[in-house]
Formats: sequence, structure tokens, C-alpha cells
Amino acid sequence: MAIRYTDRVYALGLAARWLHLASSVLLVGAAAMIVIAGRSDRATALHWERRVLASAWGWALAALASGLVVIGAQTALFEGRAGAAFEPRAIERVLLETQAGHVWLVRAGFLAILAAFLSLRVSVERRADWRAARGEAVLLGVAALLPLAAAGHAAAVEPDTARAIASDGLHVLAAGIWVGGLLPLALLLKTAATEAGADARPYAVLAARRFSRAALVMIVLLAATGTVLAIIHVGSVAGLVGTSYGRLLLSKLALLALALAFAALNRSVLLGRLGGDGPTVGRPAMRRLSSFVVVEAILALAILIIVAAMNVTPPARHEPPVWPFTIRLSFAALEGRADEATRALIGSQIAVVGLVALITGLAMRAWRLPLAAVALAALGAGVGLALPPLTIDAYPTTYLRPSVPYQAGAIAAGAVLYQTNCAGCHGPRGAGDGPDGRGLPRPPADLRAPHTAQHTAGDLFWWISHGIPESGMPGFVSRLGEEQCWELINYLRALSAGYAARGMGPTIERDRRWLVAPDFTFSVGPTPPHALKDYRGRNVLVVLYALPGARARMSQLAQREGTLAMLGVEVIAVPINADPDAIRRLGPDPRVMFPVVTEGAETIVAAYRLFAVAPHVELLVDRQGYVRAITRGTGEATDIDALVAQIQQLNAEKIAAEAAPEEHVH
Amino acid sequence: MRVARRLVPAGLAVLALWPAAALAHAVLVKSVPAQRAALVESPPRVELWFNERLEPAYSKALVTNEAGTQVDLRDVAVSPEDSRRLAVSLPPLAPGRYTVSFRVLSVDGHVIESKLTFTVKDRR
Amino acid sequence: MRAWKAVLLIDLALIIGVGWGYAFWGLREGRLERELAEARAAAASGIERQWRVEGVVRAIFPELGVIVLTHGEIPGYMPAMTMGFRVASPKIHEAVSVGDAVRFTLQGVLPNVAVTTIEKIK
Repeated sequence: MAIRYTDRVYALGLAARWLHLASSVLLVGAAAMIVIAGRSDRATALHWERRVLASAWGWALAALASGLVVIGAQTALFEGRAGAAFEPRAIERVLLETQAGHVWLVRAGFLAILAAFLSLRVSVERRADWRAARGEAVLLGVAALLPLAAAGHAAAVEPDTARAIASDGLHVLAAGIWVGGLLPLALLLKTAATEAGADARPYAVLAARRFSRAALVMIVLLAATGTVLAIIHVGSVAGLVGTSYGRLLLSKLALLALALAFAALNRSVLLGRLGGDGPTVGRPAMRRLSSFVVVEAILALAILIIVAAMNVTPPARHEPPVWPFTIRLSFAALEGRADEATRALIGSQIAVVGLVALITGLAMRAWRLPLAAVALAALGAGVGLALPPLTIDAYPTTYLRPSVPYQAGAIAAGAVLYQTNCAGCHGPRGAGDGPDGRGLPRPPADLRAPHTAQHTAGDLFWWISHGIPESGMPGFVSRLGEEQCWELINYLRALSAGYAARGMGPTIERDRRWLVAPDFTFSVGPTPPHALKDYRGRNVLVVLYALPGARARMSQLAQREGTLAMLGVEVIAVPINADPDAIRRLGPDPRVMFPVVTEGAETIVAAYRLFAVAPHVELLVDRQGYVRAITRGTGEATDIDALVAQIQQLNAEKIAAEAAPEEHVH
Repeated sequence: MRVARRLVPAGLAVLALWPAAALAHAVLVKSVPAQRAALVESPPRVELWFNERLEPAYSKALVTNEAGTQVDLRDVAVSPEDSRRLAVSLPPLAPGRYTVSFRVLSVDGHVIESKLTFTVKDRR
Repeated sequence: MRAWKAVLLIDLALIIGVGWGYAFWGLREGRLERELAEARAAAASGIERQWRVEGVVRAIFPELGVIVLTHGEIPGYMPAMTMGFRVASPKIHEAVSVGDAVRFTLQGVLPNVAVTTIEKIK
């Protein structure tokens, strides 16, 4: 089969990036390896040093050349035309006007200075000169490598951009010293193992030991910064197994594990044998170590291919994950099932005992094997006992994030879709009592039930689009678009939340925030729209009113608006009949100064009526955007002090450190 | 040698195309008017918020009417206070359906291209 | 040449180059910001300004010569809010009533501004 054109293009671009990354990394490693190995006056060592320096010079030129290709490709991408890659003007614009361009200029500058410096013929006879010259090469190489972090994914992370860039910078630096040092080390070992290189043998042994120590530090640093970066860019199990970025990371880790296995073997077994000299012990070990180090280097360079691919792949956080398994694990599965919870608890304890036994077994010399066997058995049994109760069916879309936010508009649109597509079976109110649902293999679900907590929005998305064949539910993927499915899901969430909100009364429950107020936008006359979210940090009283019944209450609120404002409460009045002339209807006396919604009222009413149905409804939304109290009435003037007391209680609450409610269904 | 001379530009041209595979990076977080909004009043401007900082030189948006004619005031700019916000001004619009097309570049060097629509309703 | 001298020269050149670049950009940025602030201050003080704003009439106090409007943003003066404004002459508010969507002109030297014209939008 012919490879598709775009695939070839992708592969070529990847090759340029990889070459650029690899040469930048190898450059730093080569320069650093000389410093790590130290100065020597043996002929073979000097010869090795010259060769490594020459290779560093070559890597600098390779990085510059491949950098040209990379910046050309970026220009084409930024301009949106392939031809722009060859236009000096277009490239100049990218270099001068974008962050990626600035970073490129700085790095190219350092690479050029380094290349020039390495081609200088300076005397390094004296110790101070040697240190200055070799140190400068490392410094310039690092200066050329580090800014890469400011042009990659880390640069776009918010908040904490600086932390992300610092982690990324340390990560590439550590990779540079470890990966880049391998090839020079292998060369030194191979040369020293020959008959002619015997004079450099002690030097090679010393260099290998020093490098091994340095590499260990670098690998620890790589693991630490890599963990930080993975949390920043991937952040979830679904992102790790369900996106291209996550899978690239997994394959990177697999290769890394292999490379580290070689590194561990080299360090623990072969390094120790170098000490003994002679044709039987030292030299064969040195030769073998040399070839094993080459294998380690090849694996590391393969990892860089994956890194180059990750650079052009959107981070998992920004991608919809496709869950590859048919089950997932969640504590939500235990809700209301005490016996299953007990089983999971017992299983987990057995597993912990097994784990402890395993660690003890590995630490002890005597009894190692039997203890490990028992430990493994306990671990397996524990896991086998604990996990099954925690499993929930999962679908490819389970961790898909809704593309439509939880807003009144989406809920209202979903309500309409529900009535035309779902009400026949699930009933007009979602109770599962529709007339068409009677003959089905399984009765339609009661959508008001709180069991939705067990299901993610992505689960609902799968059922709505693909149906549930065994229960007789059809798939709606052909009838509803993706956006409409999400609107429907937003409606279902509001429906279920509204059912739970039946119990919410006019008094707030201290520190209990669970009913998210769907965001909405509204206008007062021709003024630009506002959103409920704009009021975060203030309390909001959303008043759904109807004239003439609520005239008394509206007058009361109008008169006491000053008091409410002083308490940090904004009033938003929404006419239930969505009258565009609502302000005039309220009349000039008393003066109503708070916003009276003239545009957007229909959707607000459609969504918020799911929470409370009454001739007059007041919803108290706290500073974080949760509905905390609902008053249902007829619109008579009531004791305003009761409301004031509730507000004072809200104001006395500490704003929790937890994030404000998500804009999306979960 | 002649073959090589021909191959090098061809290879470069091919290379120039590849990053197209890495679209969709910065994400549109919010817009005013919102996607598919139906407005009574003509909005004074269109504002788009993204989840990543934008490169002003390569971030553009334009508003077109149903006929495909550009109707905005061609003053699209990334906000100097908040480099995640892109805005373009509008003249008073006649009732009808409008499309906002945008192509933005985030600071990590990725391009996103998309569009959204809104409607200006006829006033009774 | 001795290597440490060459290295010292290169490092010095780098430090001067980077420092000069930073100072140049930093200073330029600072100067631009200062100029912008000065321009804003100049625009805001002593000069008569005029805005065309849209809003809704929320209340009228003929005896005080004040009209209360929920209005959109008034650039350089105040964000969107509900606010009372002086009217330049008593006649101005006679043409509108509470609840009307209006377009009005605000004119004057800050903070002494008044509504000089007002008309209904449809």
C-alpha cells in the first residue's frame, strides 16, 4: 500500500525536528563529558578529547542546519502557505514577531558562537586555560539548548508558565548530559580497550565512574521534572491511555525503561569489573561496557524521536481522550452497596500486606524466594478481591469532555431536543414512564435518579449516540449532531440536579455547595450582554417573577436594594413571561435599579425552572457560583431580614480553596 | 548532482507542509456573542477568548455575512492587557446570520482555525 | 592566544550584548508605557469629551434634572452600570420614558458631564 502523502510529509518534518533536537542534546553531552572525565596528559586521552570536540563542532553545525529547516516549516505553518518556507520576508516576520522566532534567534546565536569558539585554536596547556575553554563550551551548549523550553508546550501552560518552562528546561538539560555523554564514553572505552590505547585505561575507568555518578543524578532529575511535566500536559489516566500524546509518552516510558535496564546493568555489573586490569578481566569488560553504552545511546536517541513527535502533538489535556478499555475503576461504584465496599476494603488490605511482604522479601537476603512468592500471591489475591467491585462499564467516549458548556442556553436547547427525541420512552418529566417505553426489553431509565453520579457525561454521550441495544434504546447519532447530544446531556444534568434540588429550601446549609448555578448571559435593553459568571465574588439573587402577582415583592426588593448591595448581593430579575418590555411594566415607582433581563429571559427561565416551579422563585447564588437557597412563593412581600440573615451567613463562610464549579458536566 | 539539485527544493517544499498535521491546539474558551447566539441588537464587536496566549502577528478573525462579504471594521487585534483575547469591531449589522472565522497562533507555535456563527434577529 | 583570555572576551561580549539588548527592550517598553499613561492622563483631564452610549431609561427625576440609565461601557470613564446622569436641559428627558431603549450623548469635562441628547432606539 502506498504511504499517504501527508504521512511522508509528517515523517520528513519529524526527521528535521529530531535531527535538530538530537544534535543540540549530543552537543551539550559531548562538551559536558569532557569536563566530567577531566584533564589528562595521556596521548590516547588527548586524542579522544580532540575527537569529541570535533564531534561537538559537527553537532553545532548540524543543529544550525536542521534549525533552518525547522524555522522554514514553522513559517509555512504560521503563514498557512507551503511557499512561505522559502520567502525571506515571511521568515523574518516569524523571527522578529513571534516568541518561537525570538527563541530560535537566541539559540541560533549561541550555536553560531559555540561553533566559532570550537574552531578557535587556543592553547590549553595550562590547567586554567583547559578549564576555561572546556567550561565555556558546556556553557554555550547549555545556553543554546535551554531556551527550547520557552518555545515548546511549556510556554503555553497557564497558570505557572515559569514553573512549566523551568521544568522543561531542566528536563532537556538533564537529558542532554545523560544522553549526550553516552557516545563519547563508549568511544573512550573502546579506544582504551585496544592494545594501543593502554595508556588511557585508568583515565577511562575514572571517566566511566564519574559519568555513572553524574548520569544517576541526571536520571533522578529527569524523572522528577518528567513527572511534573506529565502532570501538567497529561494530567489524567484517560489522557495517558486515550490520546496520541499520552500514548507517545507511554512508548517513551517503555523505551526509557529498557534504556535504564541497560544503564543499571552497566552500572551494577560491568562498571565494577573495570578495575581489574589484564587481558581477562578489565579489557573484555571495557569492550562489553562500550557496546552496551552504545545500545543505551541508541535507545536514548530513539526516545528523542518520540520527543520530537510529542513536540508537534497537542498535549493530552487539550485533546478528547478515547478510552481503550470496556471497564474503568471508580469508587462511585460502591455507592449504596455496603457489602461490595467491605469486599473492596478487605481486598485492598490483603494487597497492602502482600506489598509490604514483597518489599521486605526483596530487602532480606535469607528467605527471599519463599517470602516473595507468598507476597506475590497475597498481592494478586488482594487485587483480585478489591478490584471487581470497583469496576464500571466504560466506553470510548467515557472521558470525553463536553464541547458545550453547562449554560442555560444549552439546557434550554436540550430541553427541546428531549421532548422531541426522548420523552416518548423516558416520559415528559424524565421519570422513565413514557408510553412508547412499555414494550421494551428493559424499562427506560428514570433520568431524575441520582445514579447519574456513577456515569460520566461521556457515558451518556455514548448511550445517546450509539444506543443501548440490549435494552431497546436506539442510537441517535444520525439524528442529532455532536453539539446537540451535549445540549441534551446538559439538560439531563440539570434535570437530575433539579430533582435533587426539590429538597433545597430558603435556608442555607453551611459549607454545603453542590448545586451549580448554570451560567447564563443576559442584556438589559441595548447594553452589551453580561454573564452570571461575571458576578463571581459577589452573591447573586436570581429572581424569577411574574406581574402582577409579584409586584409587592419586587417593590420591596427595589426599596431594599441598597441594603442588599451593601451586603454584597446583586439582584438579577428575570420576567417569567420573558417580556422584552419588562422594565416599562414594572413602572417608575418604586424605582427598580437592579438589572431586569430584557433579552435572554426565556432560556434562563427554561433552565432554572428545572430547579423550582412556583409563581415566584428566588435563588440565592453564592460567591463561587453555587445555588445555596431557593425560595418558592407567590410574590408577596416577605420579611427581608430573613434573606439578610441568610446572606450574612453566606458572607461568614470562608471561600473554599477548591476551584469554582466547572463549566462543564462531568 | 542534477538530481540532487532538484530533490532538495522538492524535499524542502514537502517539509514546509508537514506541521499542518498538528492543528487544533489553543482552544476557544468563550466568545461574545456566543456560538449560535440570536441577538436582538447588533453587537458592537466580536470578542474571542482562548486558553493560551496568542501571537498577535498571526492571530486573525473576520466576520462575514451570508453572502460571504467581510463586514467587520478590519481592526482585529489581540488585546494588549490580556493576550488570550482577540477582538474585532463591527458596524451596526442588518438582521441576518453572520460567521466569525478565526485563525490564531498560540505562543507554543500551534495554529487553530475554526469558525462560529451568530444571528442578528429582526426587531418585531 | 591564551584560552582563558579568549573565554573572558567572549563572556564579556555576551554579557554586554545580552545586557544591552535587555536594557534597550526594557527601556523602550517602559518608555512606551509611560507615553501611553501620559496620553491617557492628557486625554482625561481638562479637555471636553463626548461619548455616544446606548442604554435603558430606569428612572427620571424632572425636579432634580437627573435621568437614571442602565448603560454600556463608557470608554475611559466608567464600565457598564446603572447610574444617574445630569441632563443639560430639562427638555431633554421629556421625549423618553422609563423602560425605553435609548441612545444618548454624554458631554463635558470630567467629572462634570451631562446628557446633551437622547433618543429612543426604535
